[in-house]
Amino acid sequence: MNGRRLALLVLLLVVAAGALWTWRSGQDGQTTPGGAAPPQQAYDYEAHDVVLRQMGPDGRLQFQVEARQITQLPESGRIAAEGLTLYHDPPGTEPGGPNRWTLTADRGELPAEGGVVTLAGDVRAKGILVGGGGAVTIATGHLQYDLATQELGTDDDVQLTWGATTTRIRGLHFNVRTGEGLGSEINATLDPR
Amino acid sequence: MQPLIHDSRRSLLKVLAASGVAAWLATGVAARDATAPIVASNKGQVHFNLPAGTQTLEKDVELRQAPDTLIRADKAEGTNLPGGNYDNGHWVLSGAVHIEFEDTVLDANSATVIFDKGRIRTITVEGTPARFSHPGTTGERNQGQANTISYDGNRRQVRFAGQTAYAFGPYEGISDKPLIYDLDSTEITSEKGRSDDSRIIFTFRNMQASARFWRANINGGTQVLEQDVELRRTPGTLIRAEKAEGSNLTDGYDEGQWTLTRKVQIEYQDGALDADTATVAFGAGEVRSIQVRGTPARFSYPAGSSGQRFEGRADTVSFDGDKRQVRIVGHPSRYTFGIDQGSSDKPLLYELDKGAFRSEDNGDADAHVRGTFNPRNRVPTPRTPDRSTAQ
Repeated sequence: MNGRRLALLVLLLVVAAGALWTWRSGQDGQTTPGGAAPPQQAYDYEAHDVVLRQMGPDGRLQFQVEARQITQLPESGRIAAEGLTLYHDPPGTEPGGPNRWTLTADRGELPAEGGVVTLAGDVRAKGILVGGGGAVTIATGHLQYDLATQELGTDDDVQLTWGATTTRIRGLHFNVRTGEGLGSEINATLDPR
Repeated sequence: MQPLIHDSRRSLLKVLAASGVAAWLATGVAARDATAPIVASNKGQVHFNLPAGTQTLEKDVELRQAPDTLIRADKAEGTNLPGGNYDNGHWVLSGAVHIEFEDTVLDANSATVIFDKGRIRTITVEGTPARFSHPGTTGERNQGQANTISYDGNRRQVRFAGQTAYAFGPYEGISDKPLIYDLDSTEITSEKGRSDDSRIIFTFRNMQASARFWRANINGGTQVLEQDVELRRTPGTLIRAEKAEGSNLTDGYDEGQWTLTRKVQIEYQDGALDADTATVAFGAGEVRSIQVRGTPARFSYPAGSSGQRFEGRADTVSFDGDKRQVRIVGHPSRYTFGIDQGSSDKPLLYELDKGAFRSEDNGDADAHVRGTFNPRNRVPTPRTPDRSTAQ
């Protein structure tokens, strides 16, 4: 494991109740965010019931993850999580403030350094747009979230709920910062009440 | 009328049939039940900006709202949709626009639909032409086409402007003026604007009517025409007046009665009438009766094959279509027959087919018929032989 990453992880990792480190050189029976069982010796460590906070170079909180279990993949250094909730505060917003985005999923992979979060299995992203307009909820089976560009993207079917509108869209690229979205084959129920 | 309408009907049917498979949506629909949810769908790209309240939908766009509102288009650009709220959305639609609401159908190249509290406030469609249809009372749909067709949701009226043609009930026509169609009463009115020379022309079988202003209630069988009114039936009938009010028009212009006022001129077959007011009744497509009044009313008709005309002036001139007889009533009435002329306190009856006239006994012993007869109208009397010189 990369020493820098380990140091950063140790710095950012707040172990919740019952946290468990299990250094393993061989472990089977675990799943990846994509759902496939990892090969033997697929990860370097695992932890349970953890809270992980990733800080940026400026010391600012980049994101926070609460997970039932995390493991680190040896090759890429990415962290696989299960039963996770990810919190992200768009730049310029108060950490933990009203514009915080909350993403939940059955499984996820977190970037070793910035980059893109990949979520799978009953994915839900919820937040309030900086530009105004109320809460937005996105539900889908698979989602990527680019922490740098703040863009959510998926090719799967999406249910987007915003205000009085519930919309099903095939594929979606949605920018959390601007509130702009691009998808196809909308099927929206617009309740004028 | 021109085959234009018939062609347009066929085209409209094709459009309506094709629209069943159509595609593309666009705009919101509002219906009588504003609490019904609006369902939007498309088969192409969707671009939206939630804070800005905008959406752009492409390909097979469709918006529906129960019970009967449907909007389709190739592309729909929506604005004023804050918080995903479509209550007050503005939609600009383009490409194969098809709109249905409250039994009304619109087909056009482009459209703008504005919602207000979940109901359609206005629709403006444009096309070459845009087409409209709405249920008539006889089973057929009232149809109209124009460059621009606008719907005012508050007034529940549809306005046609630009190369307007229509087929409402038994009538077909064209209009240079904008027409207003009321969805509830199905009354049609030409828009009164600044004075110009534009006219409305409409036809029913061999009858053509035109005027600068027209108001018609097809269901009620009434029509009002104003300014330079002209009713023309081929062959042989031309009616002009400043105003014509038709009633009991139950079978187009084949049945019904017209009340004419101001500058009335009637030409029927070879006869002519000029008057201040008139009433003309049609039955089975023929003129059944005419009654004109004036100060005086004037009548003229060819007198047989002599080339002369019978002319009468009186307070009232009546034509009986069954008897083919004209009755002239005045105090007195005056007449000219060729170069003979006279006056009568009694009604005069002129037989159109015989070219003869006579006075009518009205029971007034003091009433007289007076006349001067020019001897040139008579056959010269043979000279009596001089007996003194007779052989």
